[in-house]
Amino acid sequence: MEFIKTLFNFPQVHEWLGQAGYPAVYLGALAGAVLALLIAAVPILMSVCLSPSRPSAAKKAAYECGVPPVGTAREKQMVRFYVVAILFVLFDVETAFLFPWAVAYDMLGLFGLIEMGLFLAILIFGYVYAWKKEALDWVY
Amino acid sequence: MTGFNPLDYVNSSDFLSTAPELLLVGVGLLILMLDLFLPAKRRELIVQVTVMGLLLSLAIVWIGWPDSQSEAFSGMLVVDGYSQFIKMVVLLGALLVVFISGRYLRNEGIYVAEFYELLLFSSVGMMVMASGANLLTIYLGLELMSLPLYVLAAFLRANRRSTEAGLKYFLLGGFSSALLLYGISLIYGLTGTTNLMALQHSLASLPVSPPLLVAMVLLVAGFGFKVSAVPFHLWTPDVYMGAPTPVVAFMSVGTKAAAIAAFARLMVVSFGGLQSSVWASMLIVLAVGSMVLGNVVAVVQNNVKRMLAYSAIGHGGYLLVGLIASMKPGSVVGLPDGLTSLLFYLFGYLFANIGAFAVVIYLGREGQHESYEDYSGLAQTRPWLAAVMMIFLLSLTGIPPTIGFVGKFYIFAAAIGSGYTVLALIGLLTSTISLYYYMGLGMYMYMRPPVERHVFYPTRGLTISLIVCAVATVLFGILPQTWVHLAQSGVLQLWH
Amino acid sequence: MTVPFGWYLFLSALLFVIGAVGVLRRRNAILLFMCIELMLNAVNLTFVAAARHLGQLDGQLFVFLVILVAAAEVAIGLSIIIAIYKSHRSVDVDDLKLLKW
Repeated sequence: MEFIKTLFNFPQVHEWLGQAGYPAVYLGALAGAVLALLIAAVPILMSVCLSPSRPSAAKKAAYECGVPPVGTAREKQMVRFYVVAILFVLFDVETAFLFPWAVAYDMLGLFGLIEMGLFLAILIFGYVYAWKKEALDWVY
Repeated sequence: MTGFNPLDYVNSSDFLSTAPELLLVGVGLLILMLDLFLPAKRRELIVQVTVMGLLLSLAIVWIGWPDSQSEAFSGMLVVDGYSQFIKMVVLLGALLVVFISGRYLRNEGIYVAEFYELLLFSSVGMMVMASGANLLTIYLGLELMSLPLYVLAAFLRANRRSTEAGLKYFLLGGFSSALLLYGISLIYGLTGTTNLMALQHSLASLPVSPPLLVAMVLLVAGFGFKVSAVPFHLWTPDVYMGAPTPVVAFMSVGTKAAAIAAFARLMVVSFGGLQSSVWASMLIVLAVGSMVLGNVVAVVQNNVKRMLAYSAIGHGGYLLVGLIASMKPGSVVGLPDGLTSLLFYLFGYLFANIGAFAVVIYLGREGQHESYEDYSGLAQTRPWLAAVMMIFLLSLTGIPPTIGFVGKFYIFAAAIGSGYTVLALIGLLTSTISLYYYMGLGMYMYMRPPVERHVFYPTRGLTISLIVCAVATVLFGILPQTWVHLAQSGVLQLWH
Repeated sequence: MTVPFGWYLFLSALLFVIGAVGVLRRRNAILLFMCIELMLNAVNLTFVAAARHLGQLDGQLFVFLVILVAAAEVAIGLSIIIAIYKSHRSVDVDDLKLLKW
């Protein structure tokens, strides 16, 4: 990162940036992004350009050794995943409340603990309900 | 940050003043567990627990009726007569719906526990909206109200009309709440606050600028969708026709009450300042469109549920007239102001509309016997049923001596008092149009020979709720004073 | 030196409009739904940017709640779409013709 800093520390650059009215701090990020793209793109381009290419039917198969594929990879997903997926979305996002609470724990004290306990209790009600209704079971 | 104590921000009175909502959440969780651990034979207990929970919540609202406005949870919620009145309407609506839905659920094979569960959570959302004093709580209440309703609308999974209604309601509902939320975010960006009272102070010094106008249009669109005001009404007929009838009954009253309550609080408390005439003119377009389109299109319908959907659009328009009237001071001497009329109108609409849907449930299963012809000669085969239906239709039209007449009269009087005479005239005119289609159904019941079939689906719950609705419609139409005073005292508490 | 507040507003407005236009133009229920999520994310961006601009935390708090509500909406939306697929064998909103739009 020192390299990027020195790169953008030329007074001319600052002057130009000042004229453009662009927030200079973000140019570092931009440079980083360009660099990352280059690091990824250059080896790929090099291998395309430099390596010899003699394709054959066996080489083009998805697995050169092993069982030949039965169909395309663009298949519809199993429906049995959707209930789990929906429940995941629900319970996953609830942690959004846990993080701020955890950060401010020592300030909120016992009161915060009880509040969070209530919140989690309500969540657990939902969880138990989903469980007992066999929403988490494997659907056949 | 030393010396920070969370207990400075929360105290026991917060929990006491939100007891009705907390109780319902508790009952909802209890039902979940009862459903899991009760043997199948004892599932009837779930209905009883639901009814008890709703009654208890209603009792808490009633006993703890406030004399002045009080804040809860650092001003996120307020409890005042206004919010309690709406909560009462919502809870009564939920109770009546539980009563009318018993046999329907069994006939359609609806899973009982989950139905009541979602009904309770949706009611909690409506109550939070009624109490919401911050755009954040209003939004959360709105979502808590809507999400269970999306599921309820699609509850008949094997019924293609029901799933279709659910998807339409969900997609358009999600779209409209995104609009609302973007409006809220712009308001927040402009003023730096989402608290309704604080907004009032910030907006007082803020000129009407393009971003503010955009934000306002988005807010109006979001709430307009829930009140099913034209041009945001497109979902209404389809959802009303496809969704299970008890759900529609609940939705038509509860959603409307909660959404218009939160909307009115926002408009009157926050936007009631200097530029209120700008916002009012925006609402006038919606109100006129709803009254005209709802009532005119209802004329050509032949399905009772669809007709009630278009009439619901029309009633949304009347409610907006009450809101518009309340944004400008002035009233006819001796008559209630716009907001009071709005509350009273909702109270009357509750009984008449749920009653009408109860008759639909009495007459046929989902998707069957919903056309006008199926009501032919009802006066001969079931004279009492035809009579109560007639009462509900009269009330929806606004003919004395029903509660609907009083509500409409107050709303139009308030509009005239605030100088919106044309609006009141349009209201009167469209009411006349509504006479045509409501009484068209009455003609079928009283003038046509009876049809061959007529399997009825009576239950004790249906009978009780029909009687309650009919008695309330007539009794409070003759003696409205108690409720008007209650609503009026609530409205006066809006500004402390 | 930071990105000015106006740019954030412009970006979020752009995202919001892309989402809104998508909702109006697309016909596949799942894509419609993703467009709605895009709109919600535009809202989140506005809230975060506004909170930073105003030097408050309220806006960030809003974002937490919006994300959570959006997750609940995802769960319900996907379930309804699956129910629709089971009953209609399609998730194209043009195929929903039983009820007039």
